[in-house]
Amino acid sequence: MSEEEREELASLYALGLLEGDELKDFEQALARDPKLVALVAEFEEASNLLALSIPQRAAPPLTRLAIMRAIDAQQESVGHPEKARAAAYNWAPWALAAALAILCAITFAEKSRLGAAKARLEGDNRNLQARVTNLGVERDRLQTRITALEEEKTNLEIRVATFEAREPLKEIQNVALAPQQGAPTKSNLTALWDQGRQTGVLDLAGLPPPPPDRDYQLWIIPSATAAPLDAGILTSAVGARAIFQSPQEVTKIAAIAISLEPKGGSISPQGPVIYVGKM
Amino acid sequence: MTAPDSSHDEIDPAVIRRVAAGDTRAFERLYDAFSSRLYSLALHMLQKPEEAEELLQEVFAKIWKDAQAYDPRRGAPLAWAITMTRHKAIDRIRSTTRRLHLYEAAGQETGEAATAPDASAETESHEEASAVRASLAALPADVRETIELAYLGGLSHSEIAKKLSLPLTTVKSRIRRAMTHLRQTLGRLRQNPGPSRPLQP
Repeated sequence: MSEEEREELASLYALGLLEGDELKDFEQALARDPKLVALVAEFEEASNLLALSIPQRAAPPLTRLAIMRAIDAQQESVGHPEKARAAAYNWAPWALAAALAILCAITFAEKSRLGAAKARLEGDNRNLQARVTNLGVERDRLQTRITALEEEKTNLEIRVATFEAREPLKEIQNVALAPQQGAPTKSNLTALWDQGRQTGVLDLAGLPPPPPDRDYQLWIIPSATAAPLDAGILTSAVGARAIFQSPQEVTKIAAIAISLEPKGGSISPQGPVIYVGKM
Repeated sequence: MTAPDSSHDEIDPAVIRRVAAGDTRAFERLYDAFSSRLYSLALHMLQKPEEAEELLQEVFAKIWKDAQAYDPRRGAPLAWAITMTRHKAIDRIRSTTRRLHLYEAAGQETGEAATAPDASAETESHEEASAVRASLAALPADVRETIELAYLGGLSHSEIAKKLSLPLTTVKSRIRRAMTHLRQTLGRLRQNPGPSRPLQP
């Protein structure tokens, strides 16, 4: 603290103008600095010179009278012999009053202490209640998750059981699609049909692209009706493998066929059938 | 209405000790010596004679009751009484919302009815009072205004800053300047004591 700061703070303190942290800090400095105490005392005394600068007016004479009467009355009251005696002999009520006061003080202190403890416990209780609520929400969330997992587990078990019950190789049939008149190749095309999944795979290796205004269209011929079911256009799958499905469940397939149809395909075969594979 | 001779301002700390012991004659002497000073200060700060009178009664009741608390090492009896009066006046001012208006009014009325000296009571011959007034007159007007607002108006430094539309640092700096000036004045008064030394122990 510079000398200027010391003087400024001491001035403000002497006038009672310091507040808050500034006051606290200064009083701490005062406690360990006797020179600062002396400086403050000097400023206090100097500040009182301002009171001397005020033009003097006499106090109203009745004020003196009132004050002196009050003082005299007090003196008489305290000094009166009878009152003094009475005070000496009447100590019992005072002792009782003092005891009651002490009891009240103890009760009040105990009440305050219990009040504080109660407030603390209520606070703890509120925290615990909030925690219980949160745990309840978490429990419900986990319960929902457990239910979902159990459901998923059941589904998986069903699927596993289904797979185990099946004999996949028995259900997959291999079929060779033989070229017919107008077929672009003389070699067979190969297809696999999974009866259980109602899905098949057709190997299109060696099949050239169709003419620009035509599409290859695949047909499934069920044994029951012999009416061809549209299994899709093969244009995009040319040169690769095409996965196909029956548009409706077929108990048994009699044959699979490929026809050459107008661009975009037909509802029922219109063009020449160029490959046929009987199951 | 007459004021007691202000040379009675000089009260020996022994008088306070006698008051503390319950000596009413010593108390009367104290009253006669200090009442004008304290009443004038109270009137100047509160602006209302009836309030100043009430305050004076409070101050002397406190002196009678707490005289044993007086510590001569901390200043002369008059300084002790002035400080007590000022603090009580500030408490009163601060207990109302009229503080700013009050001191504004005081500024306008200086020298008028509320604070005008009673011609018969005024003791202009008091050397220290004259010296102090001369010393204050030597201060720049803005510095004087600031210290008067702080000491006599009971305003905090932030309130003074607001009232005068000044930064707080300027207010603090002005107060320090004024207080340093008053301290020097006090030093001069100590070196050249007149017939009476109002603030000396």
